[in-house]
Amino acid sequence: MQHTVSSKTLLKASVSATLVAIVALISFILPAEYNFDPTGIGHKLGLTVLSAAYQKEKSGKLVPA
Amino acid sequence: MPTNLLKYSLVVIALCLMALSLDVFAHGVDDNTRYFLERNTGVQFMPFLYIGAKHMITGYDHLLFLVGVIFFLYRNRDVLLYVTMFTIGHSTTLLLGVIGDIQVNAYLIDAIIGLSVAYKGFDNLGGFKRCFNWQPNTKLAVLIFGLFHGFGLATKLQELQLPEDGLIINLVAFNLGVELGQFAALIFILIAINVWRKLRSFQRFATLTNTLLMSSGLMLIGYQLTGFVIN
Repeated sequence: MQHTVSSKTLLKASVSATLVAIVALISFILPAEYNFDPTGIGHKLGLTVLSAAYQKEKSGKLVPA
Repeated sequence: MPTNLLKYSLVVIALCLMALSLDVFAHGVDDNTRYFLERNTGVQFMPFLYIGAKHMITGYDHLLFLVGVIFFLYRNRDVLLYVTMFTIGHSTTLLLGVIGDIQVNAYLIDAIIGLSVAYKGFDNLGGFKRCFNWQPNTKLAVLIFGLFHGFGLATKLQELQLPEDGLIINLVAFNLGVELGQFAALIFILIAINVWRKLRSFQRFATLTNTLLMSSGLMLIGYQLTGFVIN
């Protein structure tokens, strides 16, 4: 029903899946969604503006629950 | 053994219930829907049916999991069986979650939904057999992850703070909408995957596709867990 890949392929797949996820998260997703930008890449790409405005508003006034 | 899986799932459920939160950050439902629901009470069958269907069709987290589940199911009977398990799972917690007013943190639930995607990608590569010489029961896993997907659906409805008036009917309409949306999405996924299977590239890209599935799941986990920590 399913295919079982070799250990080497599995390791390669798992490591690359994790690396791709980490790079995408740190450079694009987290800067854009939460203005969380540890590398500064998000800012350079201009992605941090998406959530920056919202977070400013949220901290500026109390948002009712 | 499946009992192990059950044990772990119970721990995860307990952790989620501990992270009770009333302050659910708005995501998943658009402003139009919110505006409508805040100004309309009572039974709203068709609107809720539509919201449910739309939520499923545009819910890439649910769809990624479904793609993973049916990726290596060649027989229609198997597709039907697995999709039924998923449906039983998510309907149960959707109905119970909203009726029982069970508050679960949306970020944690969405992180577990991400985990379900990553799990399925890894499982499709035969990762469990390779690493542990043991594979979690796939039918049971679909059912259990279905339960978490249902909680995810429930949190989206609970964000709307639905009035008691007409709640049950609206909830059933939403649930039916979810199934309709799932059915519609499945048709497209099945047609595409069945065509693709006839081509040589299916076997060649099966590993890559499931690697990407795993990666997307990990992205969803990271995205949701960060949201949980920040908010």
